[in-house]
Amino acid sequence: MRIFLIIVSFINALLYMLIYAYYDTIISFIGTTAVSPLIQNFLKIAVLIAASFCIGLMSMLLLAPGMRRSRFDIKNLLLLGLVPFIFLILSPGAVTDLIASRIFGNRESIRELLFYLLSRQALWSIWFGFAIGTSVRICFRRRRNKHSLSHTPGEKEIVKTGQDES
Amino acid sequence: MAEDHGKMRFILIIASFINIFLYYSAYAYFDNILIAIARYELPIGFLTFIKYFIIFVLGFLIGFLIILAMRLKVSMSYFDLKVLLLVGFVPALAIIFSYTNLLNLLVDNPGETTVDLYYYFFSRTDIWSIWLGVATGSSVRICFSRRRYKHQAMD
Repeated sequence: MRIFLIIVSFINALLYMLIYAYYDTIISFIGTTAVSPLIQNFLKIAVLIAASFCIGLMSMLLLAPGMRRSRFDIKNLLLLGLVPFIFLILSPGAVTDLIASRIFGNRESIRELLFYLLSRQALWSIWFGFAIGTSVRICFRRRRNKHSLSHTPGEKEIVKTGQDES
Repeated sequence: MAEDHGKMRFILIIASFINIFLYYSAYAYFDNILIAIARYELPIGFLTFIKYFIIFVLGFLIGFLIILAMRLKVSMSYFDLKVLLLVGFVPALAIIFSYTNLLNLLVDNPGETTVDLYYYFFSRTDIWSIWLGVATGSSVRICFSRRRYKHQAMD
């Protein structure tokens, strides 16, 4: 199952990378007027996040940290993904312009500085995707039920209740 | 002792974060840096290498941060070559293909469309560099527990 998931993640990562590499060509096939520029930009970022999610998941599957149960590590996501997420939101321009005009008095040099600092959307989206991908914890052990029913002939039915021992 | 390990991990996480921002700033303002160092007339190939090396280090630090945040319990510090080979061989191959003429040797009689297709796929060097960096960073295993000696002197 683990190997199967690793292969699936790998293939998906390559497919998403292909989409990202030929994104402009795909958009020109669809027609640039059919999709608004905002949606185009969003889709490009989403493709990159999905590709890096698959890569992050792949490295997590290769690590196999021995989980007791499958879960999504929110703490890990907050620690690793908060910064790229904030910068990804700030990167489109409107919010940055607002900050530049309200706080820094619309100075040209500050605006340029903020633009250069926040405009690398590809990097932020890859970092964010990795953060999501590596926050996934998958347990590959067989599920053990908390309650098991034991029955011996001639005796009463005993319901065993206990902790999951895995 | 456990507190010391937590402190060490915390220091490494903070150091990684600071380094990420420093390297990111170097990448974001790379064009401005180029203008500043233009008088030294450095070769273009070297400058391109520096640019992608910065992205690689950035990726390495992100991967390292991920490993530190995971609190992996390992008995000794080592570099997991298996993970690096499995996760990083595709971007490494893509970087090699994008900067060498190796592809022309592999593809017999390439047409214009084929060359264009290969070019678009392999030319995303910044993406490949960061992927390779993350693969390298996430292959590092650090043991924070006290070192245990194999041999112990006894009275």
